[in-house]
Amino acid sequence: MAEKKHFKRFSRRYVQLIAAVLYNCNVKGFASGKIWKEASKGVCAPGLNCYSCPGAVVSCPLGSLQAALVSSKYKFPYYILGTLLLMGLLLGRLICGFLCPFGLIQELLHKIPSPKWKKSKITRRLSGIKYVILVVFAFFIPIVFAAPGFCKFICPAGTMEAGIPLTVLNEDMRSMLGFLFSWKVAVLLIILILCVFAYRGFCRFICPLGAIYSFFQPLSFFGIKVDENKCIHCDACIKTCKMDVKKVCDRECIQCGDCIKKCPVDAIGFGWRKQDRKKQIIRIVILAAALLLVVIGLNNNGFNDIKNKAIRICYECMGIG
Amino acid sequence: MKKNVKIFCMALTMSLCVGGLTACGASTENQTADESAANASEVSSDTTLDDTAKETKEDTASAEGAGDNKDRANATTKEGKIKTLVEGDIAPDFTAKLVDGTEFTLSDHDNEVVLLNFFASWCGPCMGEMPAFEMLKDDGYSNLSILCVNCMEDKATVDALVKEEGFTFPIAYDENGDIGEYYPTEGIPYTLIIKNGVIEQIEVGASSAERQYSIYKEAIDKCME
Repeated sequence: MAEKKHFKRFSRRYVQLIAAVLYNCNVKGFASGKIWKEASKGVCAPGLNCYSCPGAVVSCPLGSLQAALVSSKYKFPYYILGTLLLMGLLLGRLICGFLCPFGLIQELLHKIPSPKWKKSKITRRLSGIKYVILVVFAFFIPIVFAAPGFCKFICPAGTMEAGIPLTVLNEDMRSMLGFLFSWKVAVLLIILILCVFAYRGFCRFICPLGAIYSFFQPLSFFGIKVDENKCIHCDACIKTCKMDVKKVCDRECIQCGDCIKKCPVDAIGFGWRKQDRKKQIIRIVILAAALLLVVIGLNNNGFNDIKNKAIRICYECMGIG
Repeated sequence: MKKNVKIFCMALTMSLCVGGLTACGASTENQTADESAANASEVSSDTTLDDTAKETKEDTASAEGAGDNKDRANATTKEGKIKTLVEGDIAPDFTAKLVDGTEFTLSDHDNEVVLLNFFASWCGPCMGEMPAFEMLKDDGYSNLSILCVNCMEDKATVDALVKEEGFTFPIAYDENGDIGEYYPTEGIPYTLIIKNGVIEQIEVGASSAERQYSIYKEAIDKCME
């Protein structure tokens, strides 16, 4: 039993680590200060990972979405919308728990010994901020002001993975730094400090990608499931969870599986999630729509559009421009 | 014991992935141009500027061979790789198809100052500085040619962009990146001021249209002296 617990606790860390390395395996880029320019940049990683990071070999879904929305007046972003729908529908916020490199960084930061800000009614309310950020910075600003609002003004992953390394490695870029870079470094520091005190503070309160995936939580094909026949409603799972969940697998649940170990009747597990007939129909309709969008997007040069954006440094992600 | 095996397997998998992907990237870079060439992977490696015109010519744009009056071969290194351009280099020649249906050949403008800009519709700073080109056009310089080359977006998108924004300065298609290949850059907007076929100034990135206008105007005035 002890070994099983050990496996469950650490296997997620392995997956997070493997995902982070796979997304950023262009080791040579970290030495040369040049970004990856191959076709794999047309593929979106499920988690938040800046594509201007010298190591990144895939694209960031949120960055790609904003770039596509900036030019949505001229071309509808079928491919990226379809990709996000598909990833959300398949895995929901399991992506946050297992496949997000920035989630891993936050969890490691939270291990630093310090007083911890536990979840409460206040944190539950604050978790609504990410939906506001999603609407304003990831949709409104890109569409109306033609700028990737979240990447430009907030994204700590962009500053940490692209802005700082690239400006350290490239002398030319240092001369381009201005107020925006200082602002982004300040935001990064605030978020990193927040994560030391509040478990996954960025995910819970700020991340618009998590907000997007949260809408798919009730419908996702794979993830945490609760056996209602076994459940005794003791709430051990909710008390254990460090996220602002009200029940297992609600919008705030990142499906990390910590509750599995605490369930006294083994009612919680990972797997293919069965749904009632109504949800099953909705799920199939969304799946069909996602596949249709991806196919139309691919026929419409969507893959190359994402790649062509991601093979060039995004100055706004870095805090330049 | 099982834990050690697991850690070993994970380390092995990660090493293989990292090694494999890095090696793929390195071999592609060796085949193609300078590692900073934005679109190098799509064109044959041993293509030099001199023989590109006839062999890789596309419907919309082509990088062309040396002009009669100018040795444009120094756009490549001795090994035949495309080099990153610096001020003082000879601007690689090309012929581009414009949105208005005409063609633009850089070597035809060797006696003028040319402002060559690379942009895309998804690039906020690129779109932000576009009014600067409109202002420069309105300034009515007699000896200035402005050309904005779109970076690898399809024709329909570029047409929609021009129609929506109402740009009146020349805009070129570069759907396959044939022009951009010879003007490698890590990021856009990327703007070159060219006088008599020689690159006088390079600007990467952009702030406001007004500021970019004054930067370009100053560079152009300097070239016109």
